[in-house]
Amino acid sequence: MVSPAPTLEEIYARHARAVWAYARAHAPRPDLAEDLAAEAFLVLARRLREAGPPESPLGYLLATVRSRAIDETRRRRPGPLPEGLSSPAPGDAGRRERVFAAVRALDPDLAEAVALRSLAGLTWEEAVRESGVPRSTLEGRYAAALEKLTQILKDERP
Amino acid sequence: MTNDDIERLLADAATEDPPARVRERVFRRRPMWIAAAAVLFFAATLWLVLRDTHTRRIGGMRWVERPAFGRIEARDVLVVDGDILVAGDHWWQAPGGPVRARHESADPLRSASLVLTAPDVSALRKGLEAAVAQPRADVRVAALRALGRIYETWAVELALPFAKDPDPRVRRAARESMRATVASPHDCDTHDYAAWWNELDGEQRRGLFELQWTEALQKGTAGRCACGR
Repeated sequence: MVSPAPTLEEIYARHARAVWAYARAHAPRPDLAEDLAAEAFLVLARRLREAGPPESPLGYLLATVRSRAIDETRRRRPGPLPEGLSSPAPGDAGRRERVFAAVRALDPDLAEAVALRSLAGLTWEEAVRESGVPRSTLEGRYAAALEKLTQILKDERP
Repeated sequence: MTNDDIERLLADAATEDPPARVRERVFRRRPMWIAAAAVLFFAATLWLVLRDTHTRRIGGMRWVERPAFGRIEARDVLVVDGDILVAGDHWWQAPGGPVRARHESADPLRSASLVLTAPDVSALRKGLEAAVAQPRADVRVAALRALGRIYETWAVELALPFAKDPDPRVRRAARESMRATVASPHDCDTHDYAAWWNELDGEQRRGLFELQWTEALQKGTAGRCACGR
């Protein structure tokens, strides 16, 4: 028996955090991450209406975030950070902001490995499919990314 | 700080919920009035297009109501709001030549409530004969008004029966049409109203007499004919 296609509500409930974390790893500011995440779900909603669900809804969402982030980067000039974001607040929110900022500070290939594996929560197989690079390469990048993050976040308490 | 610590930090960051604004934007329902406005706009556009392109054929004559797009053929006779306009080299060449010469509007078709086109006089006559026989009063009124710009005996004959039409709009259009013809100055072999009068039967003459146009008809021997001859 074929299971019914997931609704947008179900997909949102299942993947919103992963998409959000992935968007935060790509967007220099939270408001831009909001744009990316919302846009990804809206594009998926159109896809659901017109052509049914993609094979991997999460993969589709992450690919949309990635492509829109590249478009944004090309379109926008880097501007000054909004008030209060240059020195994030203490506590959980501030720590997470520093973690996302550290990921963004990595080389793009390393950042992508961490974003797919740790932030979006993909398995290695899924991450390989999304990144399009061999698993060994991806694992190497991931390990290198952790090394770099260790240095960047050396003062952070886990 | 070990790799495990970093992975814990990353795992913690991945637990952050997106702001409520993201969800609101994804699941925002468009207000009903937007959908209603879209439907209304579509319907209005459709109505405009259909209205402007609505073309019927009556008696072999093209009958275009409220055209927004000119479809004038080289030798068409156009009747715009009861005013006859001639396109191209035709038997009633409007002063100045082109259609627009007799209309102040930059584009007479834009302001026209009715355009009749016919390739020649016989087609025009046939079309108007069919038009005045239409059940729709507005079509008959328009055709009668057009007849008032023909300046031909057959046009008056065609309008005459409608001078006593029960519909006041039709009656008025017929009378004004006939008045326009017989009161027009004429001294023209082509438009010999005196000869035409002689050909009328008693009932037709009585009809004109009752309308007090006989005088105008009989006096109409000075000046130039509306056709320019």
